Amino acid sequence: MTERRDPKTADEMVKMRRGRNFAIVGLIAGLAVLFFVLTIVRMGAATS
Amino acid sequence: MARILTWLEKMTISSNQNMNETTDVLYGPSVADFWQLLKPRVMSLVIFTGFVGMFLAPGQMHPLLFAISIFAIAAGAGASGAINQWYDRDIDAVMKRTSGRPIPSGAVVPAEALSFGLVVSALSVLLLGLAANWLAAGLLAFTIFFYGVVYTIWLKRSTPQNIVIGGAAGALPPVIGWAAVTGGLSIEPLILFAIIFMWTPPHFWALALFRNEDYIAADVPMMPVVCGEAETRRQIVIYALILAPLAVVPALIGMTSLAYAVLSTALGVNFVRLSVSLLRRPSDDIAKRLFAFSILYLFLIFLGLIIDRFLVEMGMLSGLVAVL
Repeated sequence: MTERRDPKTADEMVKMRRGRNFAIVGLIAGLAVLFFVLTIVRMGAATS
Repeated sequence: MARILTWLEKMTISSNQNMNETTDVLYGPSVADFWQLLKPRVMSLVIFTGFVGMFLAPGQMHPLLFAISIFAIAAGAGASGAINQWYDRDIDAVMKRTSGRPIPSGAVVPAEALSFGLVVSALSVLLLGLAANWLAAGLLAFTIFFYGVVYTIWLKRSTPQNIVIGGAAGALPPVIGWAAVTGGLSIEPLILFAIIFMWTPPHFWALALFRNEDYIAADVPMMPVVCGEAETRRQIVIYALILAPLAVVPALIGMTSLAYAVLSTALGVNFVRLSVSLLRRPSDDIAKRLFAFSILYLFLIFLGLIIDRFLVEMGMLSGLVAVL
């Protein structure tokens, strides 16, 4: 199971938060790209 | 004076606890904690069986849509895992095997886990609907509902048949995969469903036999807790006796070649042999061996289906198909 990695210092806490924020940005951007690609592929399939 | 000191002591402990809770919320969960909420090991099995359903299905699918569909099925399975962990947090905290999960360990707040599960569920169903078709998306939504509500909230705590009925959720991914490619259903995916459905009880009961104290402590009515270990071992043999011939059926209906029939028969015989051995000589050791073998069994059966189809399509097993 996962070990809890509680930050010991304020710097660590900021680092952890930043990591989480980047992950969320990546996830949203990834989803946007995914839906875009999906639309393009489906449009291609419909027109061919 | 003594009473005041005791009161002060209690207040200090309580205040420290509150502080810990507050700081936990301030730190927040990490990405790894959310990943653990998705039950990655269960997800890998779903990806594999869903892939087999898609691979065996007749028809063509754009490779990218194929990949997105697999991703959506996996995400849906993970989301139902998060909902399961949200509801089972009290049981998980008591059981040794699950006490380190993100919610009982305090890494994730229950409401966060539920929101995460619901959002990922909705996104996965939407994604599968857009990438494949709405039949597959509907089946995925039903699977999430069945696992998250029917099994987790209702069956798990109310009947020793929890695993038997709840196993339907774990058996649906190949059906979803098949529906994603073909847009319909037929006998083949239902056989794949039946194989996983009949495999689930002996697999989980073998685990429950050597983790019995955990389930007793958590008051979960698993078969060994309610009906006793001897009855559980007897039920395992019955299910193994049904599963072994059932896994050969794909060869009998022309889905695979004779090579798969030989493989599934050999694996089935070993499954029954181990189950009977557990019935005759009850021990944790044999229960653990059966549990480990059951994982290998399902993996090899589904791998066998893929390899067989691949070899048949390459023309390497065409003679063996004609034999049947």
